[in-house]
Amino acid sequence: MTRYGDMREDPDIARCRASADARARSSALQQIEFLTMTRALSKIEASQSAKPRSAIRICDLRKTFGPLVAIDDVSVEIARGEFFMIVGPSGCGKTTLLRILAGLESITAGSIEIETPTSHRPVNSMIFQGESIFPWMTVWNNAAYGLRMRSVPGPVIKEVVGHYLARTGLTRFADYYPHQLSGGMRQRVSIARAFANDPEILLMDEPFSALDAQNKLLLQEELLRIWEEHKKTVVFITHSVDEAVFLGDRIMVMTAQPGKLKSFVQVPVARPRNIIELQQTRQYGELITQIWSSLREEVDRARRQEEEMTT
Amino acid sequence: MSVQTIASRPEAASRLSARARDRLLNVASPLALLLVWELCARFGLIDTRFFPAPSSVLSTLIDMLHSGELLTHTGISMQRLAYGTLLGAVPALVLGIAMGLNRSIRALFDPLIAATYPVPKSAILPLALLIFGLGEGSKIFMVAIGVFFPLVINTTTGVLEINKIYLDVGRNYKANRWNTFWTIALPGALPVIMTGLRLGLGIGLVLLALAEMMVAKSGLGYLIWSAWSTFEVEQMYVALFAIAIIGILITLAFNELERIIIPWKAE
Repeated sequence: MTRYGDMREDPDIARCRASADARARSSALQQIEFLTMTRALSKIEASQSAKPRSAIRICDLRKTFGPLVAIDDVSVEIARGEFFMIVGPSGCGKTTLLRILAGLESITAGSIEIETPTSHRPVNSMIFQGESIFPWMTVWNNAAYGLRMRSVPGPVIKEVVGHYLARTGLTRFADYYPHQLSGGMRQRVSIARAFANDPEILLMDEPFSALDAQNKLLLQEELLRIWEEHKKTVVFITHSVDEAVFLGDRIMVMTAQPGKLKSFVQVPVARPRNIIELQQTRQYGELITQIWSSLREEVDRARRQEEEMTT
Repeated sequence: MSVQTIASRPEAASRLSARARDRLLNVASPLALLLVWELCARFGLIDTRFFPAPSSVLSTLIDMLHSGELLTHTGISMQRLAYGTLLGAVPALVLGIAMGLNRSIRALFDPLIAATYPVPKSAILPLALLIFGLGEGSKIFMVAIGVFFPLVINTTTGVLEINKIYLDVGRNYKANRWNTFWTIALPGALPVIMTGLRLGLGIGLVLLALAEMMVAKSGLGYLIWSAWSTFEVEQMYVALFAIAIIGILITLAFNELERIIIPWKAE
């Protein structure tokens, strides 16, 4: 188990309590370091193995940047294998929340626990918003990046990367550089890189927001297909309500800044899903309405905040 | 009522492509200059003591090639340039990348570089002579100084200009310091680094010629200076020509090198 935030002997007390931040051993490149507890933790896990545990447990999370409160009072448990969507108006701290999960941002208060049953797997891999694949590496080297950083043996890298390039339709382009590819293909490389790294949790930060509508649809379907293979836990951020319904098992709506939990919406649609068919169902319309009615107020509030800031 | 018609226009009638025409003009201008120069010299329109006819410079060049004099001096200058570049570039790269990646290192070295950079490098020559003596050391040092400054500044800028998202990717995918250096900082800054190296070599060449003129018994700079003191103007032109050729070769070599080591740079 990996835990952000502090830890007490008694897991029940430790679990849900405001905590000091975990920057005890920070370095220049790594602001927060995961506190991986080995022995002590295996004991705790053994004592709790009876009840099913969630993959991610966020407790009373609070994050401030100076006087600005980005995230406040967020508590949520995300189940193993859940495709979890976060929707909120722009500036609501959803990207910050994901960056905290990715270990790229520290916590002001509260705690996050991430269950890591196997020690050889990385805790998370992120698919970033916009251009994040290295322009100086070929498609192959980009997709192999995470595995190389973990010094995975060559033959394994070859097999895994080969598999995910095939799944994303990039096999032919393995030796291409990103500038030779279209935007949709570049984002596929980013998806292949994250999946190939075989993490416990996949974090996705509006990965398709820069794509045109057609490419977006293709990539959403492709993402679902690849995800069906192993059904890893996914935390996916979007500002698009339909994307949330297409992809997610459960949707968390966040409030305008400071980002708080507004509501949860369950998406009881069977998998594997067909996005086009799903769009034609009555259920789809109802879900969109339900989410939008919860979100609308917050989007309006975010806009008012923005207007106040500019005047 | 008016009707505007957009008529199709036949392709430009010229038989040469724009590129071929550019090439031709590129070659034509220096040739024309040489021709005018030659004619002016032949008809006594210019003072051949200062501007000897290109044909006589050419015959001196051939003589100097035969005697091996030209190649010896060129070789010595190239050697100094190579050692000096190596000596200046390696610390500039290491320090530049460290400054780009680490805020404290940047804060530590920024004022030192800002304070020493504006000093005209040529003014350091006497100091270099004091420290390194009249031998090879002082010339190599001057080249190194010339290469160091533009390269360290460009390398720092290059690393700082790397999109932050790439460093985030490195952190998220658990790249350690060593890997961050080799897989992100260095390749990310490489295009800007190469520009810095180009600039540095240009300055290095200037300082080398200067140092060779002042204190050397060999090299192209020495050749120019000795031609002046013995009033062998043709020889001076030959040496100037050789320096120009080195400059052009460096540029060409760099273009080729960039194609090889920065294959991701979009054409």
